[in-house]
Amino acid sequence: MASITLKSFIGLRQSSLENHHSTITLPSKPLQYLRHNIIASKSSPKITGRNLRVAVIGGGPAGGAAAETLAKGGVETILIERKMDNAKPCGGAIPLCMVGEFDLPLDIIDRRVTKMKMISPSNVAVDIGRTLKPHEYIGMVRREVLDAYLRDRARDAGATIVNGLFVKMDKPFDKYAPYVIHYNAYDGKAGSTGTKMTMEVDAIIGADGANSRVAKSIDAGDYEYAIAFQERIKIPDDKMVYYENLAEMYVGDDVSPDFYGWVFPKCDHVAVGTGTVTHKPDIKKFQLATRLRARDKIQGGKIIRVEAHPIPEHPRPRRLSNRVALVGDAAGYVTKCSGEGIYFAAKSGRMCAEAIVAGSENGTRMVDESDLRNYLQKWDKTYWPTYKVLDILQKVFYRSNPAREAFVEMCADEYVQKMTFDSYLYKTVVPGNPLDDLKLAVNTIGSLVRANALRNEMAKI
Amino acid sequence: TENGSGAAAIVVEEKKEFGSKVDPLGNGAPGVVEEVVKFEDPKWVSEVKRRKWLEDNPESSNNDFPVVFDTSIIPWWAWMKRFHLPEAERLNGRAAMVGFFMAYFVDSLTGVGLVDQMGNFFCKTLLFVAVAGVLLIRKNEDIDTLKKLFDETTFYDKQWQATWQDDKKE
Repeated sequence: MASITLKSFIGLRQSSLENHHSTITLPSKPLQYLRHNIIASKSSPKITGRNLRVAVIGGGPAGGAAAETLAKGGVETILIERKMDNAKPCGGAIPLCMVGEFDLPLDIIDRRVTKMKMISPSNVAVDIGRTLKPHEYIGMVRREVLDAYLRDRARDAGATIVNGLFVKMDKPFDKYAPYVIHYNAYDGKAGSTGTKMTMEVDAIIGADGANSRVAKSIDAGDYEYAIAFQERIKIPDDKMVYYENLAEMYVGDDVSPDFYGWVFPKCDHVAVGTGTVTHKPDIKKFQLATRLRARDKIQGGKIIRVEAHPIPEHPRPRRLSNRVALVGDAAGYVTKCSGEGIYFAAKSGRMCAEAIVAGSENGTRMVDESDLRNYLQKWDKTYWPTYKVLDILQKVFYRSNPAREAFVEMCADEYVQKMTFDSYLYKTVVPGNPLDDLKLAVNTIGSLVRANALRNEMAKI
Repeated sequence: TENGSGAAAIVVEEKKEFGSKVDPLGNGAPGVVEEVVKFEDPKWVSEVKRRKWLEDNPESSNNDFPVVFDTSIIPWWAWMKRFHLPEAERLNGRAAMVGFFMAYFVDSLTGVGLVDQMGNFFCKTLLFVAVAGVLLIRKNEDIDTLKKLFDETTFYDKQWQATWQDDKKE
């Protein structure tokens, strides 16, 4: 088996992966892991006297969805969340399918974005959204509202919600011995260090976000992450009308070398922000550039809040260890190109919980690693195409200013708009008409070539 | 420089009167625009200047002066003349030189003349490799770039597979 140490500069990312010692071995027999699944938990012992106990660490969308599914499946669930009223910095966009799949009430959604404007480095502006049907939209939510709703639903389903901070876990020595989790229970008292508590559980779902402690406990490894920096700006009402249901995306080297700048409408203000992976120290400069590009439209606005948060760029090397699984941002399930994570967090939480419920036969049997591996397998199979396509888009179109110009030019095409929205709103990569796809490929290459040609001309001046 | 002040005039005027050729000698006279109605007016020249200006001095995007430039409006012959033909000339020249030298070299080594070389499958393969090489590798750095590009295309896949690899190591 060849062992490749991925150390050097790969592509655009000046990433040195030495610090997370990833010696990745190429699978010579990739099907070998399937054997794990056949050693089904049918052989694990039935639990007597109680149901399976699972701890969900983290009460965001991933944790809430996981806890609800577990509780509904008859598993004894405890959800540990550090800050119940946490207003998380976040873009706050959810796709249409999330509303249906998670039965979200429509009043959770503050705004329905039905139009988007893409603005190229040279301010060529393209409106997209012509192909949206009347019932289709991108929902903008407030995270504190969404997270609280999902947690409350989990509680109603039978999960125990605990206000506390997970500290560490003791790994079991026996195959079916329980994990012991240590946490500080706050019990709603802000500012206190809380009372130290321990609990025995059979499995743990780590849904505690980008700086996951659960991930650290299982040596899940590190990932590269982007910094997203955002300012919430209250703009005058007449300017707010423009952003009624429109979001903007600015691309350009001035705004971000590997991401995009955005203006997203929130409940009564706009969020103006940008992000970067490779040039984190310059983030303030990029933010200024973003504000400059949007200046005419946010003139007279007051900054009411400044926030920043990390966005994982790819999954952690290890998303699972024995009976501990990671979901959501903790696992690194954020797409490239658009940086979308809320839906995938909730879906992965649910999928992991479903795997546990199925493997434990509704909480009556012990689970083991193979049951959790089922979740990973299902997840990778279902969403790998989406992630890969977005990765390709990012690599092709966020490379340089000419590529971004070509990107914006391509977005003017109606077929592109339809495909983009269909895949974004419903989270399936639908292969369109092959003839149209071919035309699209030709147009893409044409746009890229022309944009680069213009760039060459620019260099000549 | 001449470009600086000329470009300043463009930024103001461009948004309203697309296609008008800006007086290149308009130093110190911003806003002086020569309405040149030439048939072969290369529209992209002004767009190139506008983009160059914006790259160094990003501006706010304004809804009242929308930029609607689309590169596909530039006629095909303009692309040919300025972009495609010089490059094609360079590559064809290289291919011809490589071809001539390889034909001579193989002939001197094996005694097989040009016509007989073309009949051989191996030689045809070599020809294909030579053409591809001339197209893809134009500088020494391109070999590295190509290797990096290949690594890049598969890097994300490896990151996703990482959790399965670990499984085998245990």
